[in-house]
Amino acid sequence: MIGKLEKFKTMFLDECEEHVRTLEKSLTALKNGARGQDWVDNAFRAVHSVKGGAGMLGFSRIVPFAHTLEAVLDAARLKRIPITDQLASAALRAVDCLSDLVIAAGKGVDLPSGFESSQSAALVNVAGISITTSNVAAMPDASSNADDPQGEKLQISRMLDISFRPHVGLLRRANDPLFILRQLAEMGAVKVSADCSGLPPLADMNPTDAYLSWNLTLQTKAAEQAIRSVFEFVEDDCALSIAPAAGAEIQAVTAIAEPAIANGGPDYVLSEPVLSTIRVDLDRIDRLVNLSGEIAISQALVAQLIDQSLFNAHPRLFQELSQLLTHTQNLQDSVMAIRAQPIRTIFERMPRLVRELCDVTGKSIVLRLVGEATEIDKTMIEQLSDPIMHMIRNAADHGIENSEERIARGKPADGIITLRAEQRGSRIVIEIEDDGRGIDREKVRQRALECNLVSADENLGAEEIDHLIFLPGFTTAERVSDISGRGVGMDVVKRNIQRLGGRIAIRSELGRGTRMTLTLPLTLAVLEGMVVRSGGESYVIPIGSIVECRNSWSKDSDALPGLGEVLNVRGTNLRLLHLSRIFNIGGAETDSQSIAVIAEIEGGHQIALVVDEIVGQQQVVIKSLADNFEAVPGVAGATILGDGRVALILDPTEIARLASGRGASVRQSMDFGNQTRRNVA
Amino acid sequence: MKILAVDDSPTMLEILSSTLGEAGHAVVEAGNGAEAMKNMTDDVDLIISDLNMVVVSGLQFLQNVRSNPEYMAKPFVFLTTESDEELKRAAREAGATAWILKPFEPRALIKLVERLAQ
Repeated sequence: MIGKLEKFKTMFLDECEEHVRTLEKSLTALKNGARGQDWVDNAFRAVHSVKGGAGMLGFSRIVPFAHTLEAVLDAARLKRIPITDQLASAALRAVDCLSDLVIAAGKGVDLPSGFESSQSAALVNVAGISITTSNVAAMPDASSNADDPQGEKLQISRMLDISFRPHVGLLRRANDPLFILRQLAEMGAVKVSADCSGLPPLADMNPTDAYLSWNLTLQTKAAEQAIRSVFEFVEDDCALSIAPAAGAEIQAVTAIAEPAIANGGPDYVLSEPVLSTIRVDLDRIDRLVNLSGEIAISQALVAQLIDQSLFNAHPRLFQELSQLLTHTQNLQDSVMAIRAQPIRTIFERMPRLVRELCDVTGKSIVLRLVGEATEIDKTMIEQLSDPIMHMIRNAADHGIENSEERIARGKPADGIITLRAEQRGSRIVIEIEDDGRGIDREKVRQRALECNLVSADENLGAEEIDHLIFLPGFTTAERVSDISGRGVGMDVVKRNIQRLGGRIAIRSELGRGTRMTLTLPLTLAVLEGMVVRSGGESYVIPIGSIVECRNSWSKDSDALPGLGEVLNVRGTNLRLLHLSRIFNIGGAETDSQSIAVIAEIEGGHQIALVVDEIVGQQQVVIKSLADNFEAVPGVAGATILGDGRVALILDPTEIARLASGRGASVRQSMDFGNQTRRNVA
Repeated sequence: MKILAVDDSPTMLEILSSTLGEAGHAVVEAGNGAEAMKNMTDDVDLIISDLNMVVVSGLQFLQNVRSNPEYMAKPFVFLTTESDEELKRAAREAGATAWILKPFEPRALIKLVERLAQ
C-alpha cells in the first residue's frame, strides 16, 4: 500500500482536475441562473469525491476546505439554503482556491498557512450556515487501533451483560449473528451462552428464520458506544440490552421506532452521458500511431508491387486488397481518434482566467464558449493553452473597454469575449473574438515606428499594420500591467502556432472589436504536405507554409547587390533559393520547367524555393529524425512515401536561415542531411 | 474470495483493487450502480460500494441486489464519507451489512472483509 501511495496520489490529483472542472461548470451554470437540481447534485458529488480521496491519501490540507464547500453544497442540494448568485460566486471562488490547494498538493508545495481560510470564511458567511467539523479526518495512522476509528478508549475494564435476541427475520437481511459475536470477542474476554428455547421441531423449521438468542458476558475497556456500533446493522431486527454485570437492574433497549424513509436513494437524472474510460500511457498510443502509419505504407508498397497480370489471374486479389486499404485507413483514423481530445480541457480553464481578469481590471466581461466538444490532438491541446490564454488576456486588457467607456460608446456595459472552436475539413479553427475597441492602426503604426520596426516612408495597408503586432518587440500597452505587456508578445504566440503547423490571422474594426483566427492541422503525427522533386530526391514541404507556386518564373527573377537572387512577385522582392544548391543535389534544375514555391517563413516574410517538379499533395506520417540523429538544420523530420523512399520534410524558416550566407555550416549540415537520408532508408 | 467494488472515483477503485488484491482477493470493478448491476454475478462473495454515485446510487444498487433471491444473503458493505444517520438508517433498512467511513485504514478493511466472509 505505502509503495503504491505515490501512484495513487498522482491518479487522484488527475481525478481532482476533472472534479474541479465539473464544479466550475456546474457552479457557473448556477451563477448564470440555471436552477436545475442536477447542477447542484453534480457539484456536490464532485467535491464529495475530492474530500473522500483527499482523506484517503492523507492530503490533510484539502480535506477541511473540501468539507466546508461540501457542507455548503449539501445544504443547497437539500434546499436548506437558497441558491443565489452570491452563493454561486462565493462557491466558484472557493473552487478556484480548492484547485490551488490540489495543484500545491500535487507539486508538494506548502501554501502559506491561512491561504484558504478567507475563502472558506467568506463562503460560510454567504451561505449563513455553521459547519460541523466532525468526520473530517485524514487517513488514520497505520499504528492506531484499526477497530477503534473514533479513538474512544476507556481506561477501566468492566464486565457487561449483553442480551441479543434476534427477531425472526434477521437472517433474511443478510445479517449473520456469528459475525457480531466474533466482533464482540475481539473487544475483550467474552462468555457466550446460546438460548435455544425458541427452536421449533425440525419439521417446522424454516431455514431463513432466526430462532436462537444469546446471552453474553463481556469484559472490556471499550465504550458502550463502540459495543453498540457492532449491533448497528441489526438494531432494527433484534432486542438488545447492554448493562453492567454488577448492576441489579437490566435496562432493556429496544430499537428506536422511527418512520421508515419511504423512498430509497435520491433519483438522479442523467445530465451527461457517462463514458467509461481507461487511462493509457501516451507513449503506447504514439507507438500505435506509428505502427498504423507503417502499415499504411507497407500496404501501399504491396499494392504497387502487384502486377496487373497478377490481378487478372486472381480477380479476388484486387477485391481483397481494396478491403485491406479500407481497413488500414479506418485503423489509422481510429488510432488518431485516440489521441484526439475535446478542446474543452483548455476552454474550461478560461472562465477562471476571465473572472480573475475582471477582478484585476475592474471591467465586466462575459466569456462565451462555443464548440467545446471539438476534438483535437492531445499534444496540440497542451501547446495551445498558453497562446489562447495570452490572447484572452490581451482581449480583456487591451480590447474590452471599461463599463463607463462602453456605455458612452453606446455598447452594452458588459464586454463579450467569444472563444470558438470548430473543425473545417482537415483543419481546426479556433477564434478569439472581443467586442472591444479594436486595433487603432494609427497608434500601432506610431509604436512600430518608435520601435524601429518600420520606416516612416513605408506605405502599409490595413492588414499589414494589423500584422505588425506579431513582430518581436512590439507592444501597444501604454502601461505594463499585471496581465499583459510582460514582454511575452504576440510574436511568441505566432511562433507557437506556427510550430504546430498552424497559421494565425487577425481581423479588426476600430471601435467594434478584434477577431484572432487560429487555423491548425487536426494532428501532429500526420502532415499535409506537398511532395516536390529536386534532382533525384523527393522532399516534402508543409502545405501550411506554402503560399503559391509559380512556373515560368525566370523572367521575374533578378540579382540584386547584397540580396543575391530575388524573385519579384507582384512588386515585392522575395529571396530566391535553389533547393538543389542548399542540399547540394547534382543534376537538378537543368530545364526551364523548374518551379518556384513561395513559402511563408517566420516573421511574416516569404521566400521562393526553386524545385524541379511538384509531385503532388499528400498526407505523410512524420518521423522524427532527432530520435536517431541530432536535429538536422533545415529538416523538420522525415517520412516514407508510397513508393517506399524516404523523403525529408523541409522547414522553410530554417532553410532561409541556412541560406543566409553561413557557407561552412550549410555545407556541413547538407552533408549530414545526405547521410541522414541514407541512414533512414 | 471474489469482491465486487463499486465507486465512481477511479482512484478509490484502484486503491480498493490494490488493497484487496494484495490480500489475495479477486476484485471486480464497477464505476457506478448500473455497471455494478451488470457485473454482479453468482460467484461474487461480497460487495463493497460507494453510496453517492451518479446513474444508479449505492442505495438503489443495494435494493436491486436484495430484491434478487440469489443475492439476498451476500454481504454488502458501504464505503462512504457520509456519516448522516438518516442515510445510515435507510441503508440498514435496505439490507446493508456494514458501513465503513472513508478514509479507511486498509488493514481494517481487509480484516472486516475476511470476517464477513467467514
